[in-house]
Amino acid sequence: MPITVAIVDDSRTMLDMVGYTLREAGYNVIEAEDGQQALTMLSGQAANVVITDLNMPNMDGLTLIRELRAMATYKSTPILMLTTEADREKKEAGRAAGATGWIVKPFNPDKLLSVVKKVAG
Amino acid sequence: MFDQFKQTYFEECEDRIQEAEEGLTVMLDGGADDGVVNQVFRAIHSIKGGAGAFGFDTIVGFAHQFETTLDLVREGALSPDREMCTLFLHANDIVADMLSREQNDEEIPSDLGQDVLAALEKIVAGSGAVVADPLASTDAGNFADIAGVKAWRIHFMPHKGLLKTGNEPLFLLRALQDLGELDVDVDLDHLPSFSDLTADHVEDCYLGWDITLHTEAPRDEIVEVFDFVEDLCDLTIEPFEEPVDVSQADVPVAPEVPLVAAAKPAKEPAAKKAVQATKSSGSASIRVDLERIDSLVNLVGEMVIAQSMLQEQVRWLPIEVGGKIGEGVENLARHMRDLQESVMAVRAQPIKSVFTRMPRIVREVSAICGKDIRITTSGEETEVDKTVLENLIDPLTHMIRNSVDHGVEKPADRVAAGKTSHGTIHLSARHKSGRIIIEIEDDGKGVNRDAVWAKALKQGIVTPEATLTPHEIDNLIFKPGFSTAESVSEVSGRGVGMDVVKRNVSDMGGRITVSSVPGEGCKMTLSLPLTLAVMDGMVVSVGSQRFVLPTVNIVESFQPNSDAISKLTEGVNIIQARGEYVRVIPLCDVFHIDDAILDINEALLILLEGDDGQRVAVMVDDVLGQQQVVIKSLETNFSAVDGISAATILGNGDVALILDVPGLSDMRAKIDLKQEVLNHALSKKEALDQGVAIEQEEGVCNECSD
Repeated sequence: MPITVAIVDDSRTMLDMVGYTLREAGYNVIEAEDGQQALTMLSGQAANVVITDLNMPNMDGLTLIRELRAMATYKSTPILMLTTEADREKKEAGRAAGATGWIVKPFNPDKLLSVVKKVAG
Repeated sequence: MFDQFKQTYFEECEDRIQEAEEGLTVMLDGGADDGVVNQVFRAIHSIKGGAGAFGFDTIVGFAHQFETTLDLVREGALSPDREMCTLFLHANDIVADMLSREQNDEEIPSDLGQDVLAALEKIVAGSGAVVADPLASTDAGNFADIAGVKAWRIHFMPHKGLLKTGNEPLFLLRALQDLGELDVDVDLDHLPSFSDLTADHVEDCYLGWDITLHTEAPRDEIVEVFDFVEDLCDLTIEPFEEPVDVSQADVPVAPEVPLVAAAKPAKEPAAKKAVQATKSSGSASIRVDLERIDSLVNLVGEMVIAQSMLQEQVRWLPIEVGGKIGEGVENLARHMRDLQESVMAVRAQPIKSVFTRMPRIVREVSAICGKDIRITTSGEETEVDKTVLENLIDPLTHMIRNSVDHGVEKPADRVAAGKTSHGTIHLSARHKSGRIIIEIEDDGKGVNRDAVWAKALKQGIVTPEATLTPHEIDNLIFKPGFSTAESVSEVSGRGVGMDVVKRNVSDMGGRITVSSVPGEGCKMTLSLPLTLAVMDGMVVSVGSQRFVLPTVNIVESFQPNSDAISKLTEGVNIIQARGEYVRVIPLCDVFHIDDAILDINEALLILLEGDDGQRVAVMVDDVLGQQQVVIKSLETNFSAVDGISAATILGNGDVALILDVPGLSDMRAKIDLKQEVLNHALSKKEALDQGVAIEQEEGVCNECSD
């Protein structure tokens, strides 16, 4: 069973690029364009890792992380946030919401893969 | 490696720029709430994110400064006034400009947007916030590498909450293993006795690890492995050779690790809140190449023709054979219509995308003209065929510029006229009987009729004897070669006038009229077909010819009562229909069809109404039926002919011309003219017969034959 990674981002470009990188590396990738859509998708389809943007319409990334953490299925699933922010505040807010870690945009493909590997094994 | 995604990125950025502009416009008008500011922020943020991925550093730098400023607005640290919002709009333009240069592989001039950048920096500096360098590495280590170290001693003691964040110590150890050889000792000191372990502890982490890592890797790389957990564990990393007092250890990171990563507790009822399958799935969409849709539209068009041919054939079958088949064909026709509507719906897009460009034009142009003008819009959701939409941009832009430049007065003049100092332009769209109506209404001074009349005389567009209604005078501005601007202005001059707008609009099968109330304002009305591909038409016969009249224009058809017909001059009849007199246009005369019914009392009249409310009655031999026709443009191969908008193929394979109602009523004038010439010539001929000398007859005839 390949590892399933869910990517959540309102930017098509990011979805395409992150998705491409992960698919090339053999991951199974599922996508959603905002938190609300992701929640619906992930309620029906389990992911081993979730990568989410923070600032999105309908439901932002932090809310998504909190909602997922409240679900038994995603209680300890690695959830990575995509962020361009260098500041600690964002990371701490993410951490408080239950995020596992972060991926800094613009991402380096090798770094992305090593981070996913670090949290998903 | 991501070049293949650049196109997606640029397309996406177009939408983002648009979103940002919309939001900024709302902010400019002072109506912004947090949601709007956030929308703008998100748009710029997203552009920056992608730009970074493609290495567009100039864009990243600029967008970052822009974003930082917006972030301050978002946090309430800045409250933008009109001036600041204008700067933001300008900044947005610069981002758009940079993007389009990148898209076209052009160099971005180093001074592009520097003034705006400086202004943004000033705003941020004024607010006391600090801007991080967007290109600086975000994960730079805080500790200088200790050179020459070949092995490290790592103490890793997770805190309680580590497992709750989805981090897994095992994977971290594996990540360390990627750096070099590991010796791992488990630290069991904190593990409670079995009897003390209860369900409450099940998510806590009690194990710690003492690790020796033999590696050439610098310390930073080791720290990086723990970057997600540095605040969730006790962590020390020190060179192995020198046993160091743990209290001085350099990276005290306090991890708390609920050890029980593996022990995922029994499933709770899946969160109920989560199952809000609301609009998320509804917004799914795909991007399709326009060419594919166009070819689909064409195919459907061909099928409509084939289907109507089939229907035509079935009609002549004997009833015992044709009955069943006829039913089937009727069914087919119904589905065909649905299919056609669905295909057309694919091409339809809200007119919003065009409307949202207009506020900026109003802003820019009114700034140049020194006017204060607001623009309001309504009906943005009205859907229009994509091609119509694209062709609409230029004429609409021109009309808006025109309204700002010539329509609305300067603030001082407005106040003097007892109006508010700021002018208003309202842009609206709606569907009306199978067409889309777009109106541009301003509260300016209206069309200057005297000036129009004088200009039209001077340009030879009208003759001094002509009697025109005020409405007709206003509409002279659409005549070729007409332009009321005394001097070519920077704004709407440019050597093209409203006649070009009219031509653009006519090319799409549209029409444009203006109605104006002096001193109160003026309203331009654009009427466009919803689609350029099909229409409902009535097929009529005139002699051996077939014509199609657009169903939307038909008021009624009737056999004329001879009492209702009045003869104006020889061959020119008017008829009283529904309480008003309308001109009768015999199609047989217009198109010189010899085998048609010439006697008006035996013919059939069809009363037509144009979008401007002008009515005419056309005289035909018979009505053959009503059907959907596929519009085939003639203008690819022939030059435009007044009164004919296009052609179509009928069920029997014949080509029929589709008549254009306002075009037909325009032809009145010409026919009248011809009639006069004819009468004139006839009288001359009579005179000639009587041996009277004739002068200049040729000249008259040449002038009048078109």
